[in-house]
Amino acid sequence: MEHQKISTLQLFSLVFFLSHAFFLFWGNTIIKASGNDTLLACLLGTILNIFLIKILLWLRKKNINSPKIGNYILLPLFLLLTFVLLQQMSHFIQSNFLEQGNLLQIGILLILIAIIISKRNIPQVASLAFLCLIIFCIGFASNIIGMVPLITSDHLKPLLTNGIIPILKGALLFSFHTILPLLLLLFVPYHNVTPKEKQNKYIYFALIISNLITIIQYTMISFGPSILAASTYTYPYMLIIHKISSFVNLDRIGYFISLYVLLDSTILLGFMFTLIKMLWFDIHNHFEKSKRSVLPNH
Amino acid sequence: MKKILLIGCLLFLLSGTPYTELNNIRIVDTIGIGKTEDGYYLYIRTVPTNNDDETVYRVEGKSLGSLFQETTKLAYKTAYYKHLGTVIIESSLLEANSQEIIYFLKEKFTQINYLLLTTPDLAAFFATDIDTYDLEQFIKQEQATNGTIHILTFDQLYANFLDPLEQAAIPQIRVQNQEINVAGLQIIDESTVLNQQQARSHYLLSDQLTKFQQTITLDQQAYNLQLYNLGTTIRYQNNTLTIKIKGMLDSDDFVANYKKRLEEAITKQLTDEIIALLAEQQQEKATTTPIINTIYRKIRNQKRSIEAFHKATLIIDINWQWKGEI
Repeated sequence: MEHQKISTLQLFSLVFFLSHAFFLFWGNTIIKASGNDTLLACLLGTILNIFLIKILLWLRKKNINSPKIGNYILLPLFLLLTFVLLQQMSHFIQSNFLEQGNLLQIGILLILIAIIISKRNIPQVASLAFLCLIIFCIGFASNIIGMVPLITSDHLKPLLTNGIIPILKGALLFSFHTILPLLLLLFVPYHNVTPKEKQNKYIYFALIISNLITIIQYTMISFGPSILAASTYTYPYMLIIHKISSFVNLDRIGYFISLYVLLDSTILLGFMFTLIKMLWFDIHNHFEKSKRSVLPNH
Repeated sequence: MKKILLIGCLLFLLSGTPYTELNNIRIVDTIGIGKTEDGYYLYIRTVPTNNDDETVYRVEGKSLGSLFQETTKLAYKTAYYKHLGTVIIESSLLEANSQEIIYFLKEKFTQINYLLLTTPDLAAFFATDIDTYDLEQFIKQEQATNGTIHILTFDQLYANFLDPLEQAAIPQIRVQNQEINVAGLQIIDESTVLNQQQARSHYLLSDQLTKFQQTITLDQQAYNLQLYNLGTTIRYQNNTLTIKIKGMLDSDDFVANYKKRLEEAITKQLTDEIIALLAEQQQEKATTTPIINTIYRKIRNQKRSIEAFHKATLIIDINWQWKGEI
């Protein structure tokens, strides 16, 4: 158990990164589902998230976290999720930054980073998230400034031309992408956050800010390369980054700034590794205890 | 401190690229793709270095993929496409194979935003030493003086290409006697090429044209007019398309007594050009102007928007203001 406390700002950063982590890799699924109504789907998804997070916070307050018997199910599930995340991250890095890089090498590098992060406990991961949030803010601000001269309304289409179903599909996907990684919050003990009574407010605030940033990112896609064109790319948001990089003619600096997009998935990966480590020790201790209880006393 | 170091290392490691010896690469500046009888051919212009004998390479292949495989090595050096500035496509290739070529370019050069042009004669273009910088300068100059050509990058073309209500088009150039000239705007999947006036009207209606120059002849005397701060708005209501154009006029010549007549002359010229372009497009099924998108935003039905465009009544309202009369 952790004895260190997590500040509300650190919790805010952690919630922000966890809820935003799926945007980069699976953002195109929402565009494919909702088309021109993507922004409406995101707005509806945000409203849905506010209700879903209430349930999550209730579960968290009830301290329904890491039941001993559940560890055996959770460990393989977490390993599977970590593998999927690692695969996505490696593929993303290879296709966007290191075209000639080896997928396996990139994967190993990511695992090493995650292991370094997981050497710490949850409060320290949360404090790392806070540091990363500062870098994220700088990167995102430079992104918006770079995008301003490239905004065009040429490709905007009227909303609600395909009925309500695509919007609902997109909203559900958006909620799923936000809430699924946020379930990991159940492993952040309620009593470890200080001040305790203010934490729910910060979680709400972080979720809304994260969703707002996602909406701004989709808006940039709509006003930049067009939703229709973005739907044909695996990583639509990278179109914005490449556009800005080529516009300012500073490719390398552009790429360096664009690395901020990987911060949220790196935090998620590190957090997953930390939880896997915790679960592993829990299971190990459980085994040791049961062994001792079976062995006859001398 | 350790955390800051960790983030620094993380960023440093992820931003690293595989080591490549600069002397072993040829930086590709321009490529030209054309069609042979049973395949494709590719021209490559590389950035010249001191020791290089030649900077233009030509290869042939059965498919677009095989063309680029053959050019992995250019005269014992690796072709480096990260700084690709221009892709020139042979005009005849766009009449039939546009879909194949656009999707190929999308997959091949995802991270690069390059200039797109077409020309009827690739060999003539690659016989010159015109590179991306020269092309950009030429386009900027033509844009400011005649307004007949604009810089088109791949992502702009791709967005238009996917839009069912927009007919994608690429600026066409010709090279004659080692000099570049604007030929017009080639519409993809068709043999149609909009001439220079039609191309200018297209840019004007798309609100992309902000300034150009025009010579008007009155009483056998030529006056050079500068049009600037141009802005176009399009509205559609009750089967009527209203195009409003606003702009400023200026001239180096002495025009005090002819201002009204010059205004009328330039208004008539632009009106005639727009009417001619739209009349032609109303006869065809598609359009390269944003008008159909304006109608679609109102009608919200693709099929009915195209029908409405064909039946729409046109009103063109052009307002000028002379410099110093504000």
